[in-house]
Amino acid sequence: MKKLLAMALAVVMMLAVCVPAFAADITTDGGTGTAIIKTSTQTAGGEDGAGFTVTIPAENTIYWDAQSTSLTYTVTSQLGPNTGVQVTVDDTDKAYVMTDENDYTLAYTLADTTGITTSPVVNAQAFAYTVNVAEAAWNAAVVSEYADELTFTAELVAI
Amino acid sequence: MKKILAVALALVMMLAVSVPAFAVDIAADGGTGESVVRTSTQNEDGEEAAGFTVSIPAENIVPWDATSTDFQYTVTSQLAPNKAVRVDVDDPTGDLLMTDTNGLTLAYWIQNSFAVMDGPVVDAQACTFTVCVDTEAWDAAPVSAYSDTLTFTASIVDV
Repeated sequence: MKKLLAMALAVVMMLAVCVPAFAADITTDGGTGTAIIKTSTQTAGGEDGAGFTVTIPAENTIYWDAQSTSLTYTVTSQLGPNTGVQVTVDDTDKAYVMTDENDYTLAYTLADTTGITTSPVVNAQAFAYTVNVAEAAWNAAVVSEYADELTFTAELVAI
Repeated sequence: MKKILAVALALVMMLAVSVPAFAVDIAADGGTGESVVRTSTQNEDGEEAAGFTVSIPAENIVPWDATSTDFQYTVTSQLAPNKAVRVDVDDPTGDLLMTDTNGLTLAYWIQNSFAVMDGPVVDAQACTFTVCVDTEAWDAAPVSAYSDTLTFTASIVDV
């Protein structure tokens, strides 16, 4: 009985798939009918049309004694209406300390750490964030190459 | 005199009604006669036999990023000689814009917007029209479901 039911269900589903939905028949001279054209948010390959790319420079140079260095990244997006991309920049370990190979340290702070695109569709919109190193920190630092890793977090937000 | 004429006229009319229209009487052995068989363009119920049906799909999906999407409708017709069905597909508003629920728009145009059938008698002849959207329009559009209503107008034309 279950097999029969399963087969019947399968046949019904196949028929449902196969029959095109013809909305209207025009049968009179001068008669009219209407049909709707509608876009899908997926491509013909089944991929979602919405998406974004945040392009982050691999390396950002801070010159010696520079107390404020502006660094940029860009966002390209194509999203749903009233949706934007928010990018947040932060120190991965939250210590806000750059180190050199000898474990010397240089403290810094970040500013303008959040950027939000102005529209669902943007093409390489540039955002700047700032790495600040206090004059006192520069003056106290052994001259070396200090580095730290930053994390960029991107998410969709309502705009 | 008038009475006689009236009776005579009545008799003539009665005979005219009741006598079948026999064109030829064959009276001689081996004689021949001719008769015509002729079809009517109406059926026994008095309905006109000529007609057509244009079957229009209810909804036509344009995949995201597709710059050219073909859609089909079918025409079945049985018409008089040298007649055929012509179908025109058009945007009744004339603006050729699909819109989403937020009022955002996506421009398109229609290729192969009319078709004339091959002849008076066609059985489910498939016709194709194409909805085109520019790459630039796709790239500028927030990802949403855009739609528009198309009107199909069928008429009989000389071929």
